[in-house]
Amino acid sequence: MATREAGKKMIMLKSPDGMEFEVEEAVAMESQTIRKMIEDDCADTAILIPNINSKILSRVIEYCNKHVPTTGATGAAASDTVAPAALAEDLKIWDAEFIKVNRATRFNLIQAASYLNIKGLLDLTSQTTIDTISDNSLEEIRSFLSTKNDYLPEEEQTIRRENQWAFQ
Amino acid sequence: MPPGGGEGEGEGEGEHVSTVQSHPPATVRRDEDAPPHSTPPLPDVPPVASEENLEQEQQPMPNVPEGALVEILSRVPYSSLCRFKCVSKPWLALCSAPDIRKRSPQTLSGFFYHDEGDALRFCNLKGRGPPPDPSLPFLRHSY
Repeated sequence: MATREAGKKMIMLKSPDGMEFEVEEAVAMESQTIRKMIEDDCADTAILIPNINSKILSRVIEYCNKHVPTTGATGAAASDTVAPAALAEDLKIWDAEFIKVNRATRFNLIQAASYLNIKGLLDLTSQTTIDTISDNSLEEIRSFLSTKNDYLPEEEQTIRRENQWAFQ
Repeated sequence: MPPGGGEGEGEGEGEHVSTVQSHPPATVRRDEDAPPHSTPPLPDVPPVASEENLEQEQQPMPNVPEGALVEILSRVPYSSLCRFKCVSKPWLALCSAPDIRKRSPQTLSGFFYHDEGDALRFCNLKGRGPPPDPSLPFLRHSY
């Protein structure tokens, strides 16, 4: 993951499947959950990130690495020479590429971003799904999210009648 | 969830309707209770039919993590939330949960104004949905 550079404090993150990731403190602190742990001095040893496997965790770290304010991993020169607007545009393109993953991965990323409290990643990952489902029919949503319709026909009729306005 | 699988190879699969590939029959789902709909459900066919992708698309999908679902639902407008109540009973519970409703983004549907005759009228900005009753019958006449 991150290479050790002089003067940069490193944090060890551990996934439940036993992988360890050494990341710069600034990168790890993109997660408000980890930031709180660090601030509360709970990060002396490796931080175990529950429920997020190494595959997902490595993607999350990849995202944080890219989004950490430019004093960090993106290179010292970047912030001096590149205009902020160009940098933002570059990030947008990078985000669009980053989110091209299958649904299972995306849902796991959403959950990870929620647990780790990384707002940018949460917005990015959930918005893609919202865009997909907001204009779909109920049947397509059920299919897309593998949700079973467990209403009895008369129950569904009632609930549809109550919310008819939202279908117009 | 199997540890350490590569997720990178399946770029954007799932949402795209792939017309060139045959798909395993197990991925086609039918819902008998549902009213007939003109568009058939999208088949879960990943463009890259590697073993891992097939496994990923078929196996973990039955349970979208609830944490993820909560995050998604708390970001949709209130009208979508009401529509999604009709998806299933668990969704009804989720969409009715106060903390999700509270986080739901507020959008301006329209506004009331007094016309020349000083009657209260409603200007509907969304251009859809029934106009509210300008007499606001849900308010109690206590002021």
